Amino acid sequence: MRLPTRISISILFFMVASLSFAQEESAVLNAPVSEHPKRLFLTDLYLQRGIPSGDNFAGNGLDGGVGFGIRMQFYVLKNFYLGGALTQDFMSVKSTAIVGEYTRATKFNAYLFAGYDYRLNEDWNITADLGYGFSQNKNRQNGSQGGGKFRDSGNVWRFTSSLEYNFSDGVSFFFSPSYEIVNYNINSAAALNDTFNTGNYFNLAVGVRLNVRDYNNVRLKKSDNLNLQELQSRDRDDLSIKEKRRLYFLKKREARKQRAERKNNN
Amino acid sequence: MSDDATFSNLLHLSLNLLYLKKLFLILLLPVLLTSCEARLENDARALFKTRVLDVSGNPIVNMEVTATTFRTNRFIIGQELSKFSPPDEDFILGKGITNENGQVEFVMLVDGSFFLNFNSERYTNYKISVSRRELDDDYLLDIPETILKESSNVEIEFVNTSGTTEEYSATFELESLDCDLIYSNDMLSQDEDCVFYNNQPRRFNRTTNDGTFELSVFYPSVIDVVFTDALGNQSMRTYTITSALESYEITY
Repeated sequence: MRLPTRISISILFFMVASLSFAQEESAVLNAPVSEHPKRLFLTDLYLQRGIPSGDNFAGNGLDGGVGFGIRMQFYVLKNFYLGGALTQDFMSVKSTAIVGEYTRATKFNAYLFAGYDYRLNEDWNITADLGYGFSQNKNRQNGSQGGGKFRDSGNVWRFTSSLEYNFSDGVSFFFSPSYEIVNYNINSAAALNDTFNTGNYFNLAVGVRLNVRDYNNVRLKKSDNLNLQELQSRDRDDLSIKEKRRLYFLKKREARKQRAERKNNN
Repeated sequence: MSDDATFSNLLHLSLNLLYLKKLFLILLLPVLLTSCEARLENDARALFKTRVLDVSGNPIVNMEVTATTFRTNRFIIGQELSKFSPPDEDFILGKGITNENGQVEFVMLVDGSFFLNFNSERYTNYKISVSRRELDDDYLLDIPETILKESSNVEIEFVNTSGTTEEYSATFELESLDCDLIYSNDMLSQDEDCVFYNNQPRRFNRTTNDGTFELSVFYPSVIDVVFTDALGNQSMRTYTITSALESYEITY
């Protein structure tokens, strides 16, 4: 089976498996999704393994390596988001006969994207987005080749998906397969055009997602409500410092919620 | 007190200046490091192909053919040093090996003018200079046939049998190994400037035993030797070079 076919099947399997798994979880927990604080902004920091693919100079001549990236996105309407991302991937040359006489390539992407964030249940989210931007391979010869450097530039289309597990409201971890198609602006002989016009890359990333959420409209959970009532009923002098602190924040959250409700009613 | 204060101010000032100087050097360092990097042409891949034959028309198989260019560095103000490295440290732009038909084809990086080198023990000196213009905008250099010649050491000795003490001069018209072969407008020729300087008259019979000349030439080729005495009388000899080591004697 060829690599692109295997990759496509892997993505499909991953999507189907994660959806069915998520539905099970959702049914068991029966969590009130609407009570979860809405995400306003997030930052992803991740490591990725890039795998060049396709019948072109990248797929046939480059070897993937480890890379890293940062993404920032903000939510514009409901679960739709916009954002920007930077990535850097370190690759090596496996066939100089195909790509030319150099040994290393560092791929840099800078792109903007738009996507949708679907909350499966209390713990799991999936996201999918499509991005477009600038891509550049910085190529380098080794010492015996002369140590020369040059660049291949182009524009990238990148489809990124992610399966995310929420450790807390603020921090989550994610696994993210993505696929890039880079249209390169490489001037080449007519016989080489098909080889150097495009480069495809499949990436597998794992990373941490740092969330900024809107807590204004979040009602206290049932357990928090009981806790608040219990703490309020006790003599304040009998409370420990930890309990006083807990009481303070619960009251503050309740007040913030009431303010938001008043504001919405007016 | 005022002297102390002035001294203290001066000390502060000099320390500040020292600090600024260090800061300036630290800021300058990355600029110097990045601007001196050796660069090849961005966003470019050319294709080179040819068929390599010997002088009898037989294909030369399993020969490594490389495209190289001088290592150059571009500095901040844009000037470029043309050459300061030995040839084995030049940039390799591309390389390939001839097949059973003598054909070779490879992807080539681009960086201005370059050399095509045909590397084998028999053809050690065969190198063709190609201008960047030859790639044009189609990034293709297709030389249908490259016929390689081997190198020969030819010794020509002028022997004084007449006992004359006059000074003589000789010019040699030959295919010298010292002059670049240039591929231009689908033609292969030798560098005319180099040929001009190579054909300058060489004097002999000024001292004893100064009439021996060693010439490095491609073969098969023809050497025309023209020698002139002090009165301007010219004599000419023509030799056809067909082997790696030949020697000829001319009496005068």
